Amino acid sequence: MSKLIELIHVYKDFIVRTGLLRKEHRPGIWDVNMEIRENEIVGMVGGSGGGKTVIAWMIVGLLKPTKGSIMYYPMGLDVTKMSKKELRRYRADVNLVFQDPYSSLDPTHTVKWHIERPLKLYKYNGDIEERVVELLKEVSLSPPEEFLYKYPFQLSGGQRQRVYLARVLALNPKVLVADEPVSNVDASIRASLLELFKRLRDEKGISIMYITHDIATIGYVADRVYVVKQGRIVEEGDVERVITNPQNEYTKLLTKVVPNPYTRID
Amino acid sequence: MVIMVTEPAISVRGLRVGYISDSGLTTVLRNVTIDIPSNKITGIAGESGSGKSTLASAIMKFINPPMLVESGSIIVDGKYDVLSMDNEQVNEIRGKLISFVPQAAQNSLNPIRKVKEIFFDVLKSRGMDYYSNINVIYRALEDVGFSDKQVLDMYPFQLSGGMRQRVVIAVSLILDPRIVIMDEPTTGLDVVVQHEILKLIKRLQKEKSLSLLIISHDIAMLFQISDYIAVMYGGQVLEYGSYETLLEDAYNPYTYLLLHSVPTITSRGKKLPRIPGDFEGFGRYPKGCVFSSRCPFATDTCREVPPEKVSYDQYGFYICSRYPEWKKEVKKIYE
Amino acid sequence: MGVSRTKQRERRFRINVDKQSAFYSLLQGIWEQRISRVGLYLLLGIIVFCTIGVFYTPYNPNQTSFPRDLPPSFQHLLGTTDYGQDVFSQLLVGGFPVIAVGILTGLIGTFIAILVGITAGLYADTIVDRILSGITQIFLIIPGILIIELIGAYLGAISIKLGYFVILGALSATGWAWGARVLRSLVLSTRRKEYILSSELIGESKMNVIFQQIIPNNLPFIASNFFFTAIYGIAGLTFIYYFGLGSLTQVNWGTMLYWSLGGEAYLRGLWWWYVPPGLMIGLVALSFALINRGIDRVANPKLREWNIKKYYKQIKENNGDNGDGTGNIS
Repeated sequence: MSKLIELIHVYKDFIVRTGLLRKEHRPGIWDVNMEIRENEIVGMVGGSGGGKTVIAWMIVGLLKPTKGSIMYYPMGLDVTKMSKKELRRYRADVNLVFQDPYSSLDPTHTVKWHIERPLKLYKYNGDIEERVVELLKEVSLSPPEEFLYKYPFQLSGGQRQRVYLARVLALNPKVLVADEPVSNVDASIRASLLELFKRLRDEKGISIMYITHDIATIGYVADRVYVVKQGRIVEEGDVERVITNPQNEYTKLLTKVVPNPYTRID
Repeated sequence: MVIMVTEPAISVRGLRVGYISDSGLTTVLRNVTIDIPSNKITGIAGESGSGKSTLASAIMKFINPPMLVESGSIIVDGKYDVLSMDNEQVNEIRGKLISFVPQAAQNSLNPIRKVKEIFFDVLKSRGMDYYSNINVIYRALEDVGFSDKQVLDMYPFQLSGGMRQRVVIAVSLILDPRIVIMDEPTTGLDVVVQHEILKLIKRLQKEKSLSLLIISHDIAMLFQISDYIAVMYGGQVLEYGSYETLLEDAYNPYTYLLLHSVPTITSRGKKLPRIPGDFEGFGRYPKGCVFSSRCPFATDTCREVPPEKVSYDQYGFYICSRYPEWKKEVKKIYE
Repeated sequence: MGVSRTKQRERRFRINVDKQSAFYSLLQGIWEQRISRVGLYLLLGIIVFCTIGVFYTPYNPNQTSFPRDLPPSFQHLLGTTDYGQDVFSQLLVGGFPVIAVGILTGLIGTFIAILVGITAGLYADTIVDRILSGITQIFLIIPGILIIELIGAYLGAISIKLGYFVILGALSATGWAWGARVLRSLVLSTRRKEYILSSELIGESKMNVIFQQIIPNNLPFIASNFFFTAIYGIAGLTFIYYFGLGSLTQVNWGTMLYWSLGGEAYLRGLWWWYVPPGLMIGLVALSFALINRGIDRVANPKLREWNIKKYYKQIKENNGDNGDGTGNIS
């Protein structure tokens, strides 16, 4: 399988104000090497404050790394050095799914608006409304016609996340970076959303980077996994192997503390 | 060991609570009747819109418009009829007998008050002096795992999320209540920290023999620490019983589905059951069983006739008119 | 062809009656609040009153030939002034400029506030923001009406009186700063919302983000700012005329107060001369304030008051119907 995106020795410092005039550089991300391959779901797991979101934002070009490069092979360019125009084209291929479906949709606009904007911006030729309906079907919102003129507040968390997925899918992306996409969604909906990710991979060949704090869902959907702790990758590899036979202490801890109804806390 | 027939810590009878909006009154809690046992951890599991937080507010009598109680009673500790007491009387028992840790409390600490001042405020509101009770505070801090007293001089932003949650728990226990209600105590915490807080909660409950009511959407977490679990859906308790019963042999299909649809570390490669659809909201309330529109085992009877409540021991009960038949069809949902 | 055209028309029609759009739901919210509906009726009444004055008055308001200091009667509904003018005719004529200047000040001031506030908010922490914020700060601390009066007094000394357009310009120029300041901070918090970030990622232009997302999401504040600035405009205009800095031959509620001051109406108890214009100004400001209160409650539902007793009654009735307490209340 060929690589789509590769992070090569990526570092990111943050400037922290420690006093009135003093500033301090603190390392946020330290020497991260990572790749997203064609047609796979790759997991990234770690505790909060570990820098998962920072890595996701760097991949889509919302943040610039202090050092290192992020290669996007289909365009043959380094994301960190792209011009505005190139970045716009890149984001049609690689886009982000947010954690909180309650804040990623604009409360003043309908479902239809959310999905037709990317179509209009990238000059979709064809009947836009038909395409919107098609996209809603793709994310299993049925009947799609019923959702077109609904507003976000009329939808449940799971439905919102699906609408958001349809919005991003309108761009025909090759890679989706999903930052905790199911954490704020009800448990009964979670499994079917994860199934949707698998379907996107299998049927549309979209690669997904699935970022989460919950190693259990990683085990369920991902093919490969990176374990991130405090801005460093501490373990990587095939999900099966990492979960059944973790090498790093932190990975072992994560598999131990993940909520599991069958292990009691005493 | 002496077997005691304990009185329930909280006893809710026929509680109906609604919210007013422009379109009229929407009833959220429908005839909730439940006994919360003493000296145990009881979990209330439910998804958004199940009414679990409304139940907690009603027990604490945090009832402000547009929320209103339509009918029912709540007896706390066998003698306090919370809903018929006036606010001043309820204030007397809040904190002392029953205390409440609201959702995301660790993030709503006043950022310009030191931890010490937070304790000061709480004690003052109860007419108690901070300095003469300093030892009580030290002990409370020790209980939640702070070995040195430095934390008292720190501001909330200097503490990590887990430490803030420990402070919140210490504050809620400072007046030595016997009943504590926690609304989503681990939401927003790191997974590792969450585990530590759960262990802390369990230890405190045992040491102080607290009656603990934990409200959460995270069913896996609830099964890890609760002795009893109530599963709520659409403003009703669908099933209530000891965690072993619910884990091994649930009476209501929703409990089963909820438990099995959550991926666990061992579910790789397995097919998980799915619960179709979404909760329809309180506006379009079904005629029959509240879960019938999403239940894969539902029949026409389920959709038309509300199921009877069946009690099987002092606490446990379920509502489902298709038990035990649905158990035979359980294979269906994996297809 | 025909079919697709009707389909298109249907679609357009649907957008027109979209009852959930930000603008419509704000209007609806204002209308549903009793407090702001009273304000709207009041404002409508005043506007009708002032518009009548433009086309019809019982007497010529500048005519000075009536007996002086007449108390209200059927001939002169609100009596006459010390200069022999009909107060009611003056009141009718004198409203329109006040209302017009007020509303125009509201519109222009809000427009400047939007322009400055949103630009500063979007380009926060850049040189553009620093310059705009600096200018806003300066205009914030300038006591607008006093400065206008100072300049007016100076011009008055060389016998130039301020006209309506000059006053409108001056009031708009000094009335926008507060709105710009608040709008800047609102934009700062709005643009960090994920739905704005999402639009950026999808490739929306800044202009689209401003007009389709930032303005609709802050509409309640913008509407409220309009009424607030309009109150400022009305108060400012009245002050300027009251102190005699405007052209005194123009008849409006401000000059009426000025002349009643000159005619010592307060000391001589000619209440029908100074109470009506003062009351009208008060009523206009009150109507704006009431509407503002309604907007506040739309934007922040916590401020709303609920008639709980009504619902308890309803519950009792329902419980009577089915004693088991499981019936639905709808």
